[in-house]
Amino acid sequence: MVDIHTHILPFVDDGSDSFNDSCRMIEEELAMGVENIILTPHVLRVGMPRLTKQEYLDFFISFKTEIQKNYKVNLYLGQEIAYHPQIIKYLQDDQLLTINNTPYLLLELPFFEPIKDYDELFYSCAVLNYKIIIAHIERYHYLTYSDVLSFKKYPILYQINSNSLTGESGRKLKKLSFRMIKDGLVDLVGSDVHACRTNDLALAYQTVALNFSDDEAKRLFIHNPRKLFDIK
Amino acid sequence: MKMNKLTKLFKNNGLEDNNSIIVATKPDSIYAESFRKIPINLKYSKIDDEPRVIQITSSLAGEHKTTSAANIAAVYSELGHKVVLVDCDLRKPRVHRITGLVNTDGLTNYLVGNIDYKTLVKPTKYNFAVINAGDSVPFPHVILRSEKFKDLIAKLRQDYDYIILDCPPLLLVTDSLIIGEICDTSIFVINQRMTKKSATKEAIRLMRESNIPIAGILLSNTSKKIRKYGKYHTYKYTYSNK
Repeated sequence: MVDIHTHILPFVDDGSDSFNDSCRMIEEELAMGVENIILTPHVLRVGMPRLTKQEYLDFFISFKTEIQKNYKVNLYLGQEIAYHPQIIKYLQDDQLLTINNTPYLLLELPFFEPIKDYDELFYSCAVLNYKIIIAHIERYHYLTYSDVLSFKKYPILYQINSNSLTGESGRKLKKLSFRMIKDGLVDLVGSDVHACRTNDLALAYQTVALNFSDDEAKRLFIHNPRKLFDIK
Repeated sequence: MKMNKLTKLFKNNGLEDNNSIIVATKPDSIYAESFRKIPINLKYSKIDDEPRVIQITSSLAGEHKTTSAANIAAVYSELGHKVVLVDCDLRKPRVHRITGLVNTDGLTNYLVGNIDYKTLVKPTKYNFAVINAGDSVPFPHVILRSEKFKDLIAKLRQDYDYIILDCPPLLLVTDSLIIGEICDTSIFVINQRMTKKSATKEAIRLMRESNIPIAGILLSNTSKKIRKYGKYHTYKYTYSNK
């Protein structure tokens, strides 16, 4: 399996404050049968440290070498990019990281209010040859279901969180994520794991396999991430 | 609802504006041909002093101002002139959408002093240059009244043969009247199937009161009745090889 949305990289966001916490999270992933992990620390989020692209890369390389001494796991780097009014400028100047050097970037919309012009954002990313994956699409309470449907006219992908699927985040989000999978809107599932949250990606896989089909679970958890992010 | 049904539901992919410059994409069409008359008409509107800074405006939104402005710019560049298309609609900019650019480093960024003249003017695949609107600002009319904007137009006059200004609608905001003071002439666009007579009259009255010269009216979205007039269809097929 592939976990495409994690906050395991330590010291760069609110995900993990110590190397030991990160090791524990990786052990949990391995126990669930996840051998490919994409690290997606928060960027451009208010209250998070502002690091340069090179600093993220340096952190990642030192963390990866340290981890691979003890564990047999493949790590890849991405970023969970929070929406920012200047985001297009940052993308144009190549200041942000995409997932594993593919054109795909994980975008987090604001949690409390909608942004002014979705059309402009999706257009600009398409012109700059970036492909958007909206992180945990089920969690933005201001987006109606018809909004979610209408965004699909743009070339964008949706990711949902595993704890929404398992019911950890409430019945409402579980119902919504099931409806999205049923309508064929969801492309990827990630755990969005922080040190303080439990990782239930394996349970989410079983939930999808049980309620939909094995093929659907394989598509969401294995085939899509491998295909999109160039993972062997 | 499955995805294949959804894709049928939404035919456009969010990049549909890219084919709006008909003069470049379909040069043989009647639509393109009608744009080619505009430089001639403009030339004879003022014989001694040919207008070089041309404002494109209309009474309301959605009257095809930007499409017309881009096509006029394409026609002038087709004739071998150096043309720049400036997006003066700082509230709802569209020029970058039509020319396939990203709306960064634009007019507002230049006027508030963030970027220099070189980064401001961008080349396009259509052989004319573009200045896009840039980041949104709280008071566009204040920026458009500034001396720096006047200086920019003066500088563009030196560097380019024709400067096409795509302006916001007249009845909704005052920006077009402010820009009207520095342009040589203006073209008034009327969407034939949408705009009411009263709105058009009111907008033209506003322009006359502010002493903005109107070179003529451009009818967009014309009804079939007018399009058939003069049998242009026959004309095209008789005189074209394609």
